Formats: sequence, C-alpha cells, structure tokens
Amino acid sequence: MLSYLAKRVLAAIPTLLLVGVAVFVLVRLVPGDPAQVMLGDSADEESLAAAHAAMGLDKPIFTQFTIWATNALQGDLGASLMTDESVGTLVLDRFAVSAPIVLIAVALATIVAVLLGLWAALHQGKAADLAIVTGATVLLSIPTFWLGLMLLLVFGLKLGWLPVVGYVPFSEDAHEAIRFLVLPSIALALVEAGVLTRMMRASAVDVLRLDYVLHAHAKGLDDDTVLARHVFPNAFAPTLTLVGLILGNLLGGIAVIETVFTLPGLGRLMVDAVLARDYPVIQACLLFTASIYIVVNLVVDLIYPVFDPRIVNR
Amino acid sequence: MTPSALEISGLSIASSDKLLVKGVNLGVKHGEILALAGESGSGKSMTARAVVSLLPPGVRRLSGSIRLGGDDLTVMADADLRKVRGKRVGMVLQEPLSSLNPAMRIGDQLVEALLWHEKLSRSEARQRAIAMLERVRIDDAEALLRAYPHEFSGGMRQRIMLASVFLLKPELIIADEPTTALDALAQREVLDLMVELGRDSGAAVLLITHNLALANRYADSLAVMNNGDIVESGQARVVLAAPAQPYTRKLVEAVPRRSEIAVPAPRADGDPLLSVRGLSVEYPARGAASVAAKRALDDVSFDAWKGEFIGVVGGSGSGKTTLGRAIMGLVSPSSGSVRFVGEPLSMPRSPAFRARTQMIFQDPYSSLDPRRKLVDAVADPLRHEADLSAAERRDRANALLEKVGLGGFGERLPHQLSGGQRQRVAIARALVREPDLVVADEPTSALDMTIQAQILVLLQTLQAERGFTCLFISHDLAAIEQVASRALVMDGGRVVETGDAGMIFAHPAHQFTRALVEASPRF
Repeated sequence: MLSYLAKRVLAAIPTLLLVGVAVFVLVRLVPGDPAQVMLGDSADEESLAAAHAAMGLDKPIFTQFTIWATNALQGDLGASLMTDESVGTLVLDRFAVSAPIVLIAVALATIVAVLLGLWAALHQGKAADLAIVTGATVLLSIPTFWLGLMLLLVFGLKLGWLPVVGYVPFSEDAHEAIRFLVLPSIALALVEAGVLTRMMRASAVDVLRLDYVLHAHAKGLDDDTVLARHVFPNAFAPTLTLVGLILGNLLGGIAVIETVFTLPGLGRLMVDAVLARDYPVIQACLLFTASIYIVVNLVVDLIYPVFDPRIVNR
Repeated sequence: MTPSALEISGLSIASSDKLLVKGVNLGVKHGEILALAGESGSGKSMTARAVVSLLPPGVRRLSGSIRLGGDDLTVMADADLRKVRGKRVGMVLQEPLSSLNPAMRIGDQLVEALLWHEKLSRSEARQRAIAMLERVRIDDAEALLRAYPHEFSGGMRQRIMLASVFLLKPELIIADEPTTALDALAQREVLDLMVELGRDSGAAVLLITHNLALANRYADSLAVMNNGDIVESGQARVVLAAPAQPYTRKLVEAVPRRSEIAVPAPRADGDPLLSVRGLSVEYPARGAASVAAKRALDDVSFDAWKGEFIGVVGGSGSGKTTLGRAIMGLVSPSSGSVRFVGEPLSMPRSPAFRARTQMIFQDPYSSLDPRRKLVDAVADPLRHEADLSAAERRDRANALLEKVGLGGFGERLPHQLSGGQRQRVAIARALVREPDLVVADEPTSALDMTIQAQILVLLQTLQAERGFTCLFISHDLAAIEQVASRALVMDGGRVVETGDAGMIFAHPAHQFTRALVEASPRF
C-alpha cells in the first residue's frame, strides 16, 4: 500500500514539471503584450520599453524561465503585472471562493446520482428507469449558464429567497456566505448529476447481473441489504473515477458559473488574467489547476481499493 | 418411508414469449442426491431457481407447487421466503470466480448469512466459520477470513462457497453446475466434499449438471431434462446403464470414453515440425510482495511431427496454457528455445511463422468480434495473401464455413449463433490459411457435453483430412483420450509424463497422472 502511494506521488513530479514548461511557453506564444494592455493604445515606444523592463520582459525567454522556475520552486510565484499583488495569495483567495461551491456541488451530485442510478438500474426498462434516464440526459444537455440564469430568475428575482448579485466571504458572515453559495452550487450539481447518474446506472445494471448478487439473495438477505453491501460498492468504483475527473476539472475553475453569479472565483481570475496578458497570474493559475487535478486523482486512487481491492495487486 | 425434503409438482415457468419449463414433477429425499441433467436451455437452472423464487427478471412461474418439508414455497410471502433462503435452502452457483463479491472480505461473506438468520455475536459467528473452514480442509482459516476472493483459485473459492452454504445446515442444497468451471482434480475435491457434508448433515442435494459422468458418479437418482420436460428419471445408475429414451441415449453417447481403437500415431520420421527445448516462462512478481515471481513453465522439452495430434493435459495453473502461448510467441520465454521446421524462432515471431500457425481459444463468446460478419471473420487471416482477390477470400471463407457445417451462415453475426456454432467458426478461421500447426486451448470446455462431442469429432476429422499438427490443450482427460495420439501430462509447469495417449492413461506411471485419471468421472 505504501509503495503504491509512493509510486503515485513520484509519478506526479514529471507531470508538474511538464505543465510548468508548457504553461510558460504557451502563455508567451499568445499574441498581445501586457505592457500595451496596461498603458493603453496611446503609449509610446519609450514608456513601453520602460514597462517591459519593470516587468522583466526585456530579458531573453530562457532567463525569464530560469528566474520564474527558481522562484516557483521556493514557493514564490511572483506578483501580478497589473496589481502587483502576490500571485500566490491571489490564487488562494480566489480558490477559497470556488472550492466550497465545487465541493458542495460534486458531493450533492454524487449522492443524487448514486440513489437515482441504483433506483433506475433496479427498475431497468420500467417507467422509473425511463424517467430517470431522460431526466439525466436533459440535465447534462442544459448549458450551465442558462440553468444558472433560470435559477437566479426564479429563486432570486421572482421569489426573492436568495441574493442575486455579489458575494460575502465566510470569514465575515458565515450565514450570509452560505446564502450566496446555494444557487451556484445547485446549478453546478444538477448538471454534473446528469452524467454521474447515467454512469452509476450503467455500472449498477452490469453488477446486478452477476452471480454474487443472486447468491446474496439466495442467502436470504433483503433487497436493501443486497443493494447496500453487494451492489453499491462494486457499482460505485467506475463512478468514483468519474467523480475524481469532474472534481479535478471543476476545482480548476468554474468561470461560467462564477460569471453568471458574479463571484470572484479562480475561473474569473484566470479569464481576467488571460485578457490582460498577466503572465505570472496565468502561469500560477494553470500550475495550481494542474496540481489540484493531480491531488484529487491521487485521493481517488487511494480510495479506489476500498471498492475494488484487486487494484492494489495490479 | 422418509418424506421428501423437496417435492415439486406440475411446475411450469415461462418468459414473456416462451414456455421454459412444462409441468415438471421432482422429488428429493433427505440425504439423497438428485442430479437434474440436460443441455443449456433445457430449463434445469430455471427449475432450480424457481425453488427459491429467484427467477430472472421477465421470467415467472405459471403454475405448480414447490413443497419444502411440507411448506408450500409458492404461497409464501416475500418476508417468509427470505427466512427460507440461505437458512433452509442453500445455493451453490456455477462460476466460483463471480459468485463471491470481489469487494468484500471472505470472512464477512462467510458469516453474512449466519448473522442474518441467527442471533449470534460476531465472534461466535467467526468461531463457527473457522470450524467450518477446517471442516472443508482449509488450512490457516484465520488468514483466509481477512483475504479477498481474488486471491484464490476457482476450486478454493468453490470450497469457501460450500463452507458458507453448509454453515447454516440447510435441509436442501441446490448446486447449479458447481464444478463446470473447474478442472478434473478440483472438481473431484469439491464434489467429494459436497457429498460428505450433505451426508453428514442429512441435507437433500439437487445437483444441476450437463455432465452425465458426474451424475453417474455422485447421484442417487437422476432426472433428464430436455426443452422444459423431464424425459426420463429414476435411479441414476439404472437410467444411465440402460437409457430408455432416445434423448438420454444421445446424452450418454456424448460422454467421451476411452476409444476402442487407439488413435493412430503418424510415423515419426524425419525432422520434427516443432521442437521445444528447455522452455521456461516466469511471470514477474506483481506489486505487493505477497505475489512472488512465478515459474509458469519449467524446463519443458518435446518434439511434434507433422500430422500429430498431441494432447496437453493438466489442472488449472499447470502451465499448459502458458506452453501453448509460449510456442506461439504470445508470452516471452525466460529461457529455452522453440524450433519450427528446424529454424529457431525469435521474439516477436516472424510473419512467416505466424502465417503457418493458428490458435483456437477457449471462449467462443469473446474470441469473435461481435461486429464482424462470420465470413469476414473467417477470411481475416487471408488478408496477407496478396494474390487473392477480396471475392476469392470470401469464397474460401464460405467454403470452409460449409466444411464446418455452417454453410450459408456467412452473412450472420456471432450473437446469432450458439456456443458450439461459434466454436465451429473459430475452427474455420484457424484453418482457412491451411496452417501447419494449430494450438487449440481448451476449445471444448465452455460447451455442453453433446456439443463437445461434435466439436471433437469435427476437429479430428479436419485434422486427419488436412494433416496439420494439432496441440490440443485441455483439462479434460476424456477429451484428450478421444482425439490425441500422444499426450503430455503437465503439473506445476513441468511435463511429468509423456507418451502414447492410450497407454499412459491406461497405465499411468506418474502419481499426478494417476490422480488425474482417478478424478476423471467416466462410465
């Protein structure tokens, strides 16, 4: 088990290195100039050159990379070219906004998907199954932003239950913060629940056909016990992999949801940084996203043997 | 007279479009073993599953009564039926590899039913489980309880299954093809154990099987089922010695037996076609240290001449499959050499070698691409024959399909065929390029007895006609005896005995061969 863990952690290092190089090069390949963005179109050659020097962009790209990589390895990701804020703090602050939404949404989606997926599989081909599959397909076909806008319209404007614009950090007012998180979390959860439900149903249908399920019934267990002990753990393993992928993906930024609900999250930070060609911020965001992805999938790999003990020996 | 433990009368079962079981009557007494024999689709499994009301979705009981020790199970409420399942009726299923939950420790699965039906503490249940495991002769029961099913062989899992079922001392055991997936030695071990446990506890046993030789060896009485009807029943030995019905006779005839005329061995003159020297294969240690490096093949040497039919026989894990694969170049040997028509073979195998050799696999359900028409599947090996047009390839494929008895089947897809028909397609595919060497890895063990017999005859006829050399790998001694002129007996990766097939099975010299011969049920 320990060597399994060590192997997974070691495998993450080259991935992060590659991401670092790729991010650094790609960002600079994008046409556009941060100095130009900051100073505006009317800036003359001299002030542009001065700005370049201040940003360190006048040095050769290889030197720039060495400086950035050395600092990054020491935990210093630099400062924003636009606001001069420390990029590290900036990324973590914004992550603190997006992460709770994503975690709540994925947890919610997983619970709903497991229950509905199992229910549909049990009633395969019947009305309940058809309804769940149709519902899941509709959900995963709806664009997130439209669903978000509709939720805002109904619960924010028409019913006035929840706030429409803005954000309050947890540290200021936890109760109010939760009120701001409810709608974006639900919007996200509904969309992801669609995919996960279909996955859960498909693997549960496969497991229900297996002999050990028949044998569990032949032992005299009731339906709920068979479902909980024998069907769920085996059917959940593939869904868990998908949960990991979705979680990694969403934690890296939910720009659309953040835009619809005007939240200062990681996704918006990245979009703004790209538009401003704010190189250090883009680099930090992408590197952070990649690390999150790796960590989430590592956690999933570590949980996986609980549902499929065969994996450790492979 | 003892009352019957199980009494089925007038049982009819139907799916939405078909009558599967037609008014069946059966009775099993306490301490008796009743074999319910028949081919796949005869309705024998449905009859068994109806006893505990666990029919598959869409299949239902139309009429009839099922009495267990006087209680009519057909009128019982669900909650009461659950008290019968496991407690009074134990079930052992066919596939030991899939009838234990892979995500649950064996200990938890063993005591699950016990804790469900009886008021016991976990430690009491554990004690009883350990006692039972010792009873089924499993050493180190403590360690086994903490292990997961995938760590054990099929035979071991089936013993674990027996232990879990007998823990509750049921009145009736339903064993649905409990040993079909096992080799002869494991089969004997498991069935001997089942008989012993059954006798000791006085349980009635309903043994579902397609293997009449097993019924002959283990059953007190026998009922033969065909198309949902019981065509013949009575004392097992009496029925099998003198079957009254043509269908029973057909089944009895399909049981492979020692051939009266020995299969003629071709003269071994000139250079061998295939020459294996000191071949060893090692599988490296996997992940955790618990799985050590394994020597699957250990210093195997033999020669095969043109036109020989060689049987390779051994239990699961004896290395027989690895031998076939190592010759074909599908696994890399760790040492030793293989020569083909005098030329040493290298890894990977040359296209020239692969053009002259073919393989037939065990499971015809997974060895054919479900999306390819039969004619295309069979014509596939011809794609490297540049001078053949597409039409000529199809013609050759169709001709060979006709040869294996599937004339006009070319445009069909695999799912439209039965298992036996699929195996015929696999044989046609292997022979279409007229290979010199065919390795057939357990080509009949996934099939019913009667179908097995047909496939063996087909393979034998084609081999005699075309003169290819066949390496026939099987755990079924009877099949080897029927078709092979020479046999290699394998155990633990080594060839322990080799020689004329008829001779070595009539007078086995090595103790493993003796055990194998003894374990193989026959008439």
